[in-house]
Amino acid sequence: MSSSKKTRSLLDLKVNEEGQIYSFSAHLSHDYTIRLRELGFREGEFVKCLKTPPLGAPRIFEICGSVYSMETEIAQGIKLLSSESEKTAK
Amino acid sequence: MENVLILGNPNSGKTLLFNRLTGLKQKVANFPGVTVEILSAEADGLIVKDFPGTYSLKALTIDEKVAIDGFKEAIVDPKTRAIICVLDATRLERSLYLLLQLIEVSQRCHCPLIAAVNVIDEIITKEIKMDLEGLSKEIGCPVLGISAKKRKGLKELKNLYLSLPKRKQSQTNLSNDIELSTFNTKEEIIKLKSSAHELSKKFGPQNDILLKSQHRLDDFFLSSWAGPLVFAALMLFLFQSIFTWASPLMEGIKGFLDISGQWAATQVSHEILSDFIKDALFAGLGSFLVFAPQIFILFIVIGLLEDSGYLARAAVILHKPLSLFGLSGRSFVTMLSGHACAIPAIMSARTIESPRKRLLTIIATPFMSCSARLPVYAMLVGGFVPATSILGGIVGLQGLAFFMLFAIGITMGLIVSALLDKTLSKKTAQLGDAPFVIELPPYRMPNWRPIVMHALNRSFGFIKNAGFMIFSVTVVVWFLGYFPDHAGHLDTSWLGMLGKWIEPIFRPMGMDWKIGVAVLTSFLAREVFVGTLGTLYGIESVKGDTSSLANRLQSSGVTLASALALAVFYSLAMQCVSTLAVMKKETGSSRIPVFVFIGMTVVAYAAAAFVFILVKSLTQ
Ligand SMILES: Nc1nc2c(ncn2[C@@H]2O[C@H](COP(=O)(O)OP(=O)(O)O)[C@@H](O)[C@H]2O)c(=O)[nH]1
Repeated sequence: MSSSKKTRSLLDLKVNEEGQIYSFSAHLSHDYTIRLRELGFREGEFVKCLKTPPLGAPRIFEICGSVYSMETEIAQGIKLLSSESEKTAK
Repeated sequence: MENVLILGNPNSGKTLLFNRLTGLKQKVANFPGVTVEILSAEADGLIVKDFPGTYSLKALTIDEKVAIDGFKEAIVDPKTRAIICVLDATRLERSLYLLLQLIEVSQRCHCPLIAAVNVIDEIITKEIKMDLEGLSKEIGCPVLGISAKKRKGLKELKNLYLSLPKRKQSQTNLSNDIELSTFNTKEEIIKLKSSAHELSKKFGPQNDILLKSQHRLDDFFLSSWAGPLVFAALMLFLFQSIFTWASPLMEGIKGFLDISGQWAATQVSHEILSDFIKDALFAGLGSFLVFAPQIFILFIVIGLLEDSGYLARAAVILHKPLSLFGLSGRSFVTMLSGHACAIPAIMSARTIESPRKRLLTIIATPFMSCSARLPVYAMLVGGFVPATSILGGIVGLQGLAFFMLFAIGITMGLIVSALLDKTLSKKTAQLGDAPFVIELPPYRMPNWRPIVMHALNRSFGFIKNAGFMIFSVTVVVWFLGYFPDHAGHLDTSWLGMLGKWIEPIFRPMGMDWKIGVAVLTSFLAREVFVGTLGTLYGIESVKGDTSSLANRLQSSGVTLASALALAVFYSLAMQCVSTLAVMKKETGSSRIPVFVFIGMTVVAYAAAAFVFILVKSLTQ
């Protein structure tokens, strides 16, 4: 699959851009990845970045019909399929 | 008696449903994590229990742990007649995930489960298609569309669980984690989540206009220019509303109490008894009652903000600035509700994921100017700060002073939190930190009735509890201040002698012994202060004097400097036994409340002495 250089995270999504979740980085705790999956952030799911609010506030993402705001730290830990592999997946 | 349990995701409308089913008036809010304890009430011969919201059967925060532990106990209890899983029709996929878990567990324990798809009113008004019957057939569990807000489908729901037969003893024992742990593996979660996704796609709302309208509002409320502006405007509005809207109501209550006090005193011929009624009852208790409207309005405005869905946005905007002080965006919600009362606010900190930030939030919250401080502020600012305006009439001096008192509390709370975050970093690091994720709920028109009912409920409860305490204290104060020489000789009374002995402690803040006594009594609860002073000055006053407490203070020689020092002392001191008790319970430590009590008192004393010296040198 894609090399570590190529992997993008939720943070790399531009406003209104969509990405497909590929994996979680190791720095997220086990309990946390469970909760993220429960909220909808699971492997294979599509996420859209809705907004980058003011004052450096956590970004806003839409997934499975719900809207969440999450800190940079977590957004960085959710890895996306790189655009090329997405195309081949489609 | 048998039980019916209400479970569901945070913010799915469980508490409103609970209120509808039981006729109670629990607080409802459009913010994830408002119920942090299991509430229960009797209705139709059953006990209905409202559980804190949870996203799944695996707990991440303390409130979820309360829900899940309670659920594990209840599901094997033969007294549990049924479980109602509340789903949010506008967030169906996420709600279904929990439902699917509950279906599996309840089948294993042979416990009836009912799926109540709430907020169906919004689906109907927008004419969105949804297939609840199909869903019910597919998952093999009764599914009812309800609207807790519009009271739709509630009768059917009640009939359904009332008609269920009594349960037999459950064969399964779920009290250990083994049975629930199947939902822990990655494969399990993904499989369940995919089923929820498929079910929602097939049977759920076939239109996303609700989400689109939420995005449009978010574009405004979270935009770079409007976001911070709207936030500032709302906070200003909150503050202004307590200050201005309450005035006419307060005047009305004061007028009524004056007239009825005079009248009541003339009805009793016994001199001591008549003095007691006038000084202790009406001057003491009455001076507190006057401030009830402010408390009521504060609860209404905070209630409106909570129910609109805006608070989650405010938490997002403030997350970054608050993290500079070691806090999280969620701390804002706790601190805002701390402006009404610190006790529920400290409990609401349970929803903060990070244990470290939760502890810092709990310590910072008592610095927020709670409603019990309002009477003291209002009396001192109203009586001592001139009612003029500056900057060409835009800013009233009194309003500004009021605002400053709130700001002092907030600033000090933030500073203390930041200092603790730095100095205790080793200790608090052990507590662990968890990152911030928050759901943005849909915007909703606030539901007036429950908010007004809740505010009324809280204000009356407050008056009742405070009333008892104030009454007891004023009786003691009146007794010690009245005897041995009766009215008009406060200085030579027992209390006078006692007061002069402790006066040196209060001198540096510019306070005389009477204020000193009132401050001491108010360490039980702040609201006692105005009552005690009212009684003291009532005893001292000439018969027939109806001037306000502030005027009496002024004519007895209290200056602007001491009044402001007193106000600052009140904004920073920890004078509430109940808050300390909740703090002990929520942190599980008795050292923390002791530390907070001593720390806040020292800070308050130093700040008040500083303000006294400063204002005195400026006004001389
Ligand atoms: N439109 C609509 N709103 C509802 C309904 N039920 C609850 N709400 C709103 O949803 C929010 C969450 O309600 P609450 O009872 O506090 O949810 P809980 O966190 O699950 O206890 C509040 O703003 C309620 O006014 C409903 O049937 N229709």
